Amino acid sequence: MMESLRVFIVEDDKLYGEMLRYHLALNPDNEVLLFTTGKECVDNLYQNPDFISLDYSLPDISGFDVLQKIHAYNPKLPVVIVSGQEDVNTAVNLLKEGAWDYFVKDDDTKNRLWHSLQKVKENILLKQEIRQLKDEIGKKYEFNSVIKGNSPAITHIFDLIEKATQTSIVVSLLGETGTGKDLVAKAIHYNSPRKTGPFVPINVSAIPGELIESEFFGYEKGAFTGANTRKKGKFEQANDGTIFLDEIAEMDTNMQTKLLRVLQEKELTRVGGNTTIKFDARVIVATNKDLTAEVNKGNFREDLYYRLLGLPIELPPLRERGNDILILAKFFLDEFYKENKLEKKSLSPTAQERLLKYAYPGNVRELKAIIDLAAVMANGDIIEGSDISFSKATFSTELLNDDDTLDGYTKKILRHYLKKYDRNIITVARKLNIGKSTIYRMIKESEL
Amino acid sequence: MQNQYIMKGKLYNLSQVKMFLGNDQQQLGNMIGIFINETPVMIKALNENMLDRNYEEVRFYAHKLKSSIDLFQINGLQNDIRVLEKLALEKDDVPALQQYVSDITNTLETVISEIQKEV
Repeated sequence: MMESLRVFIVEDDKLYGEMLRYHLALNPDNEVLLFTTGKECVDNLYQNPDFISLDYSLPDISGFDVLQKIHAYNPKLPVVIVSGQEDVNTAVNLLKEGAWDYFVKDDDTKNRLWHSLQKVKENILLKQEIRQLKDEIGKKYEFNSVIKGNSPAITHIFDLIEKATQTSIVVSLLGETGTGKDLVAKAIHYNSPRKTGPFVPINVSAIPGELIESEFFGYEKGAFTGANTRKKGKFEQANDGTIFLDEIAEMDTNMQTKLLRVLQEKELTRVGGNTTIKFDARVIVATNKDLTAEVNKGNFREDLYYRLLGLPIELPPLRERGNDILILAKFFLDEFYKENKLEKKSLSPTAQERLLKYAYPGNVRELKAIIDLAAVMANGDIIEGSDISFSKATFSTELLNDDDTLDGYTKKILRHYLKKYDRNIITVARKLNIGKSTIYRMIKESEL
Repeated sequence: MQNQYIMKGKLYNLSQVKMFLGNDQQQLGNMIGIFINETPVMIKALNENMLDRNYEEVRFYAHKLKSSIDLFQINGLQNDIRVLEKLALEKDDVPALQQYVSDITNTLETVISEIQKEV
């Protein structure tokens, strides 16, 4: 529901001004104020009009100057120039200056003004709708909605996120795959003063090398084959908001150089263009690689590394988050039953124990998959330990699930290889680079 | 100077104003009141600036009178006021400027008088 629209008519011809005022006021939702000088209009901008109809020829200030003053106050305010001036150059210059439209005074002016006002209304309604949706998204990305848990490791992350939201400092999110870097990036954006601006995520590794520059910085018409129209890049799209560069370590060094320059200058040039364009976007980067190691290997520019490091937030792997595993498991379980409209089931103590012992190489993403599968497999009201199954491809991490003795680990390794090679002692001995007799002895001693 | 030939007939037509106002009689009365009050002020300014040879201001007032003349569909003046605006911008044909200012003034004064009688 929209409140009334405040319309300014700036027209020194009282007769014409009154006619326009009368016509636009036919809609009771419009509050129409008539001013006869440019100064009166400028002095009343504090009333925050939604739309201005501005006569180009005013007695005190030229329409061009009034337009500039209006846009200095509010660059987004729609101003329609209504003028007896039929000079095309004047119209073009005013449109370049940011006028919404330009009408020559004639029989149809009132109708065109009416339609312009309708468009402005539609625009305002759309913006309101977008704002509401953004608020909803914002609520969805409140810290404790996004990141579940109360372990010391995750509490520390909450503190860092809160600090990150207070300024526009670059944030580098580090952590294994599946630790929720993308969710944290969104949480930072939607809890920061930039939340009404766009959140533009890019997965650097998903963009082919030859396209990355035009994706990032846009291109001009004719810049290359297929560039039929000008296109804004992701950095321009993220203006007043946040750009999230995921898997930043995958960027090639040539592009790293260009990115460094753009971040330093806070301006960019579209591919095939000459004009530099200022942008104001907060930058969040993420990687699951050790960026310091990448710098040492020469894969990542050291100067860009320091430019992007900003506030580093290292997301802990799930195996280091203790009881958070169960908090998350219960959350995923509730979500699963809600989504599928099924009766809730709970985790038995053995299921919980099994979940707590696992190492989760795929972190939270893997836990969700495990829980979804367990919810499907469970027969009764309770999810038992036997309903929990872990990925078979993760022997190396399963090996580390429990603290064990060297002897214990040795037995586990041998059991794994015997199973893998169908108890073929010769193959197992060759794979483990030990003698057959040693294997026979270990089998006998350990009753494998 | 077309108006010299049309002065004999009715000089104005309120149909466009009425259409603009959707036949709202009260508002029509208000608009005519504004026309009757404001036009003499502009005519006076036009003539004073002509005497002062301030052609930029002559152009400005001609421009301002244009919309009222169009709205009241004042016969002959719709073209003349545009010619006056152009001549004032060019500033090089003073006799013609004087003639147009004089004719437009006369016509508008007659129109005001006629409208006053009608309403």
